[in-house]
Amino acid sequence: MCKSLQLLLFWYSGHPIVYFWLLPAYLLWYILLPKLAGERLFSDPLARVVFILFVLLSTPVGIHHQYLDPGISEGFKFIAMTNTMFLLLPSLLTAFTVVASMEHGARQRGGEGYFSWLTALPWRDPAFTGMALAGLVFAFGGFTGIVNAGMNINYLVHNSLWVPGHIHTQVGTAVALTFMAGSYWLVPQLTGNRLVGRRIALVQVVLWFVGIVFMTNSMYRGGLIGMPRRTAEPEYQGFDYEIAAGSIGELNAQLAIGGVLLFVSTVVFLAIVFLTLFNADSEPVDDGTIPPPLSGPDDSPRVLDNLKLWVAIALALIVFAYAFPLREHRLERRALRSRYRSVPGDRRSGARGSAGDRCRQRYGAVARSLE
Amino acid sequence: MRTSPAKLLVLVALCLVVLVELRTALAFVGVEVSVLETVGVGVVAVALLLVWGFGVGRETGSESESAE
Repeated sequence: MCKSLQLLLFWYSGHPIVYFWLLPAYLLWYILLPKLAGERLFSDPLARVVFILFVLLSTPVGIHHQYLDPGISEGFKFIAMTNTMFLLLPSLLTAFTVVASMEHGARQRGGEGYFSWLTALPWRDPAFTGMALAGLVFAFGGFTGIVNAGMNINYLVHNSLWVPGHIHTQVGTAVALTFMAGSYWLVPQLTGNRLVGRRIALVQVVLWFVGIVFMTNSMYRGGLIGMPRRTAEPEYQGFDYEIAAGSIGELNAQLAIGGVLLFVSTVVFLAIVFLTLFNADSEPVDDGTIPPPLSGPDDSPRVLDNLKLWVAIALALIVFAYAFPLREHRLERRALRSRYRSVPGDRRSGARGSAGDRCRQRYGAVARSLE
Repeated sequence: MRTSPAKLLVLVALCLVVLVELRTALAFVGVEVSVLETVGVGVVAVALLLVWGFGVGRETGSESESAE
């Protein structure tokens, strides 16, 4: 298959796959976090808007991974950028709704003042603390996602260590830490066993938080100075990175320290879950209810429940997003085929090769022209 | 204690995170802070937090370790 088509199809599926991980984390933030914080979700209608926006916008955004690829026009990449930027909206709405729910819960627990209510949150609960810290890291990751989404600024960080930094912030923490913290609530509910080492579990989630910040900070800084991703020793002879602060050695050391903290945190998490599975102590199982939201489903516009409409719009957006690049790809192949036919020597049997061969030849020509 | 051990742990973690990110942010505006200076400030900041946290006083907020 042609390389450009491979890339298009890869990112068509590749970016939405991260939402397979992220949306369960969102569910925990919307359902479990307010419950642990004190009680109730701030707004059910806003939550519906968020998930509908994800249905609409999550699939067509893969093209933002291909800003530097040939085969998609610059104008269409600009449209893809706009679509990607709109994905910030559900994330910002989530930040508002979840923090508002936490504040309401804290005030029900006696919290007061503009910021003092934060002290009334259940920080000793590893499930709550882990999810709250994961949400905080997700906010930082969202800001770095703006850099990835913007066409002009994306060129600065494309294929650099910045990108693994972003994915470690989002999937490696917003998702992974939320799942670990959620497990500290869920595993006792499923097994009826008391969570072993609640205080150690609290240290574990905090350790992950510190470790990921050490690790991703060095990745972001490395990416900004052009350190490539997928490279074990990104220092070349006769070449020095123009680093803003510190040195490459410091960045590598910081990354390694962060990685070690994450490894230790993972081992501790597995040990706690394993010991909890075999813990004979019983713990009262949760009542299994979700407290009603402050603003419930009755306050929601009925159009938000029309899934047929939203799925239809989502399909139309997907067709719009991928029909143009696929059409460009087809036109290029047709032009390439007609060019080969116009050269008499190339029409001999076997000289043209497969469509993939021709596409690779074209990529070779593009690469040579860039050199 | 002025605060619970759990809150103190989270505060220390946030302090470390701020130190790491602040060094980067300062570098963008031309203020270079060395690793040793960062570690020094970090040790002092964490020590002050611990002294404050373990100091004699009323715990703020409704969540207390005695509630466990």
